Amino acid sequence: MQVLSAVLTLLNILLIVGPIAGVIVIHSSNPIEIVIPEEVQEATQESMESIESTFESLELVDYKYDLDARMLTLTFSITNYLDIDITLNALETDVQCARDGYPLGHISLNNKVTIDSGRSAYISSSFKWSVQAEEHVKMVHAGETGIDIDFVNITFDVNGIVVQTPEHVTLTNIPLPG
Amino acid sequence: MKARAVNWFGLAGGIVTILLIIVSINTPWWRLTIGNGVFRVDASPININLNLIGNVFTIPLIWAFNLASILLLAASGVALMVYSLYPSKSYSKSLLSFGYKKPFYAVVLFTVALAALTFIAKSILSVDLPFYGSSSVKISFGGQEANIEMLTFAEFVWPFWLGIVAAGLCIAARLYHRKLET
Repeated sequence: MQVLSAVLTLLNILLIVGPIAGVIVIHSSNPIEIVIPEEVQEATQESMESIESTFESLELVDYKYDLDARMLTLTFSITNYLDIDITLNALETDVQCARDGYPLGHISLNNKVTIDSGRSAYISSSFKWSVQAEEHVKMVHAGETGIDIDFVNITFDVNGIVVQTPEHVTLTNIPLPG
Repeated sequence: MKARAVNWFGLAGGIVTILLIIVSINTPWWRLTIGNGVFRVDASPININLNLIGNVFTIPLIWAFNLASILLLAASGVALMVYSLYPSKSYSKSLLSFGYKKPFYAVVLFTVALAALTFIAKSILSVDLPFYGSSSVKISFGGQEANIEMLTFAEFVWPFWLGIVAAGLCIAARLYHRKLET
């Protein structure tokens, strides 16, 4: 009886200490890996690079003016370099003239878009400009065929994660209607 | 002929404990999802997986604790089954004593650890991780004035309830043992 109790107590200790001691011995050359393994650091780095590549792949592929409605429909292509499918649920941003910061209007996403991992998709968004913006373009950018614009106060919702960023994105040479 | 006494609660508790280990290898007890699949934590005393944007990884120290839990629960289940079939043997009380507490401890320690994790996240890091249900986690990057708001959802998965059943059966086995002794 006492022998069995002692054996079971010893077994308790061995079953707890054994795996922990084993992990410590295996990672004795680099103890920090016991808590933060190299694969976590690599995965984080890879994910950041994939996010960056995905944003960098954003490219304006088509635009359509509706002068009566003072509306410009912009179509972008984007490639998802992440290992998961992403859904762009919302995108809102103010638009400014890149030359002098004059407020031109607002852009919003037309429909939510799901982009499968490793695939490309089109994002359609609408830019509604103001009467004042129209005057600004006529006065300041008279005779120009294109305009550089800044996206500011950018808010987007990807997979339920809403990001508001003070970063601004510049699009160059957006064609002006003739 | 008198039928041999069997502690049925202990036998059921031992079987459910072994079953719990098997199902918990692939199914978590608790799942935390941040964003739609952007970050996911699948946790149980048996297995903890972290999934960051499709990359699954394991932390060695946590893996060691998981392995210790598997071995302890397996030993507990076997000890309970052997005890239950021979509850009147001289060694039976040692086996019962060794086996019946572990599933209970696993459930209680796991729940306390989760509660502590969510409490620490809220009080120290100001991140409102839900213990159960959904919440909106907001993180501000003061220097750059950027804000990130994440839809977060936590749920207990069915093996957690199976763990409670196993713990309950094991405690019932201990109580029933007193009846067998009289």
